[in-house]
Amino acid sequence: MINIYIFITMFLLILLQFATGNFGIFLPLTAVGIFYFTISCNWHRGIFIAVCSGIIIDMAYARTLFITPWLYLAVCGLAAFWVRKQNIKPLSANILPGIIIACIIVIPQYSIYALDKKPGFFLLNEFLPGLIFTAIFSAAFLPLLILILEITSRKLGMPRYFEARHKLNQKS
Amino acid sequence: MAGTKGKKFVKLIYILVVSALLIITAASTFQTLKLAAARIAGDFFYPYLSAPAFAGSYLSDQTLLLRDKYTLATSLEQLKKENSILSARSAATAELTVENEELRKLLKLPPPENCNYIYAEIILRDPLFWEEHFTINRGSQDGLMPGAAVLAVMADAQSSKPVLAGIVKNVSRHSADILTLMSPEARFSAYLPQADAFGFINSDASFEKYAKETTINFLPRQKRYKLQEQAITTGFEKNIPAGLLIGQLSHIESATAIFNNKLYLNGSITPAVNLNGIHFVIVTVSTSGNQPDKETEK
Repeated sequence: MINIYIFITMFLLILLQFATGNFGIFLPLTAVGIFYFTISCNWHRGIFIAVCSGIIIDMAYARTLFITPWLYLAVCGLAAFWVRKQNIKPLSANILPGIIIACIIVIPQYSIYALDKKPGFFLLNEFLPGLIFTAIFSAAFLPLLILILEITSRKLGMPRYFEARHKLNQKS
Repeated sequence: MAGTKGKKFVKLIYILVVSALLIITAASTFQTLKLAAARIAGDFFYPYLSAPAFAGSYLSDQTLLLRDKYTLATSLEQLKKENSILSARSAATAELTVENEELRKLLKLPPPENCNYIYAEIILRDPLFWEEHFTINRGSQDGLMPGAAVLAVMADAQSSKPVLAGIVKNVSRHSADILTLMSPEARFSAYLPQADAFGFINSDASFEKYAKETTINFLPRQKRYKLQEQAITTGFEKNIPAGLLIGQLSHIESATAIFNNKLYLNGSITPAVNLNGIHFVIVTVSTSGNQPDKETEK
């Protein structure tokens, strides 16, 4: 049941990312989903979701370099660190990881994209506006996604984000 | 004790050999797997990605039915007029085609390539590589093949003309990946009629690329080039018809530079296609099929 729940959520997030991408907007929706599930479930599942989602996105976009799975794995690492060392409550505490996720996703991808571009023009015209926009969006979207998925998880009896720290403490 | 160590050693060797074999197999089949997986991914997402396009068309059709009789009759009249103009133009072209065939016969040239034109809609665009590639909703089922030319109709003040937008890279059953002119992977020949010179698009990676421009490389040094002159396709490639507008020459290396001992020149071309504004494209598919050329066979 939990696998179906994760599959449907990630599938919708990937489709939403494709739909927004069709308007030229680069939003790390899938990365935010991976962050959520890595914390609410466990890092093993997170890694599996990250690799699968990354490969699917790179395949669908016909990219020659498969960097997205690695970036999503870095998001998994961030989530594993965040749940152990930082606060996940209240909801506003998740604004910062949202910004960090945007940086993890945007900086390496734009750097690869910029390899054959003129650096000055690219930095001012595409990289900085792109990074700022994505960071602001991601900072707002992570708490929103947590809120939506927490309500859904509670109703469906799925592992919850805000109980992740408590579960970890019980295990250790 | 020694037996246990030996068993562990054999197990380790076994794991290493299996891992090495797996790595070798994965590395050697990577390209094939990547291509196959890309096709599967393309087909898997096709229904979901093309759903908005279907919904849009359906809505458009329904809106048309809501119009009153007078508006529909006026539109019909206008379309009839446009059709008759297009028929007249087509008739004039048919005359030229006959003349062309006769001249080719006289010069003993092979008949020209015939093309089918397939209309397609863009269903997926990578926001990161926005101007370099996109996915369309037509695939091998519709007769598309890798290397086919992709055209976009650019409407200007006087007329609408088709210009080259890119070439087909990969084809799955229902969708195809397109490389635009801006993609460094899109390589084909180009012709500058005014300078009477041939060059190659995106063929020298060392040449610095300007923003919103593509490069033309290996242009003959002895020719004289004028900025803003048009670049067109040559017809050397099997699935790219000759004479399609690529763009205009916007930069060219100086042939008289003191320390320049190159045998050729590089330049930049501003593509005629506006890649930000296209939603629909036309793919040209050669009807001659993939039969080998007689010259090649010889």
